Amino acid sequence: MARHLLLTALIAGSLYTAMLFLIGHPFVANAATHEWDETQKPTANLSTNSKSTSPKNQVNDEKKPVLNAKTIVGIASYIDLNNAEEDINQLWDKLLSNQVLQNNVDWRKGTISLFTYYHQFSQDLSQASVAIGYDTDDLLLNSDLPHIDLPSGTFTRYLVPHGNNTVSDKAWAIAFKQGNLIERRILNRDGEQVSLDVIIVDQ
Amino acid sequence: MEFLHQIISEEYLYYFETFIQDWGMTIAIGILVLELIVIAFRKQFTLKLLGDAFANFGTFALFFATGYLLVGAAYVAGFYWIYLNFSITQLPINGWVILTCIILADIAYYWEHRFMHRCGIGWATHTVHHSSPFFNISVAYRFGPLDGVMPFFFHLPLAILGFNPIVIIFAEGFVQLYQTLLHTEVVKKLPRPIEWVFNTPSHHRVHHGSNPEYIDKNYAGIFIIWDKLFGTFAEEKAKVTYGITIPVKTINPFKVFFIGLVRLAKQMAKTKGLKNKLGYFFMPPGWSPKPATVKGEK
Repeated sequence: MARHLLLTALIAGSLYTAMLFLIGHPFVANAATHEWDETQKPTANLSTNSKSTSPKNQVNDEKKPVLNAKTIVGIASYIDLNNAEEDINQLWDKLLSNQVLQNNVDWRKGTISLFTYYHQFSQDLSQASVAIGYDTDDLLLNSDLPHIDLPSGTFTRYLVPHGNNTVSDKAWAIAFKQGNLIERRILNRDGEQVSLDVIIVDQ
Repeated sequence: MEFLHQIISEEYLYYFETFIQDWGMTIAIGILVLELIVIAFRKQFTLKLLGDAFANFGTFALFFATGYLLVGAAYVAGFYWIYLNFSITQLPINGWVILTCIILADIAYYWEHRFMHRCGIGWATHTVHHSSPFFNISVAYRFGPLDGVMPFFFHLPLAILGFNPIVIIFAEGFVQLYQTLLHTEVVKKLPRPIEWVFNTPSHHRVHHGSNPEYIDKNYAGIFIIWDKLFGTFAEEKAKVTYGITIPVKTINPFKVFFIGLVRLAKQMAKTKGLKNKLGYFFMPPGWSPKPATVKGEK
């Protein structure tokens, strides 16, 4: 009986995985793309302690992943971080109501990357530049909307709990130091968010 | 194959599921009339058979009233709660996802069906479906009181895997609807390739048989390959005797509907000790407590 249950799990697992590949689900799309390139740039391990002391919500590796150069298309604005929620919501409304842009997205691909790029923080951390846009590779045609270049280089990924779109305070503290924070949302063909991850590129 | 990638809304899938189930029943009634005509030509028609057919639809009405109306909302709400809070992802609704869910639901159905045959409380409700001494399409609608509850636990993993609850319910319904067509003696054996892969009227006749070699065989929904993989397959050779080992001698749908639970309750009431009572509840049908022995006696 145990053997049969194990065989059942194997068959079900195989079918499920095959389906994920067929629909280009982010679980497998991420592994197949080079956006968060895992051909790593080795970094010196300065710690004399062989065990990593990284916090639990930080994915760290001696060989750090590299973000390749990427351009996004969307909208950008300088926002008041003390009123961040309202300002960000306005930016989202502006992006989502831009029918020209929305119709220009190649939704048939099944997995669409939507980035939110925070950078140019003011000295007193009260303001920042925010750009929200789609990867140019996910558009059907060139767009005359603002093109924003994301920074490239080694980065650290921060986990966002499933179902919770909030970036941790620890990640924000590091973002202020490094001068950037990038949220990548993966959307399905219906425009629904299926995953969110956050990275900070080393400066 | 591009159409399999097209996104389908929850509302459309729910409407489609209701549409095919409603028309499925309408077509089943039409098929029953044709079957009765064939049975009459074979001079096998009896009033008892007709009464049994009415009783079958009577149990379905009771199942609908107790299952759908009382439990249905909780059933769907349970799936949504798991899907929204504990799923590893949330999958889109398109052709590929629906197709995969149907196959996975069929695997889940195999194990659920096996449980219903090999566990006291499962058999108590499922015995209603097997209790008819006849085999025609109306038997497909012969349900027991808890038949609508058991599937929830076996299909829960699908919600955790991220299938939308509407997709799961559609898949479950599709697996059930497929089997409706299997309840017939008019169709003999289908071509070998079909008999090899799919559940067919021949395979399902074996499942309903009370012949010793046919007991607890062919649990499959759509694909008979699960029975072949897990050692529960039997091919139809000898003529099938339908019904259960202790026959149900009534066509009163109320008595038929509750017969299994009543028999289980009587067994549990008669036996002494909590362990033995739970034994009847959980152990396979046919189980009975070990007789007490005096120390030293062999």
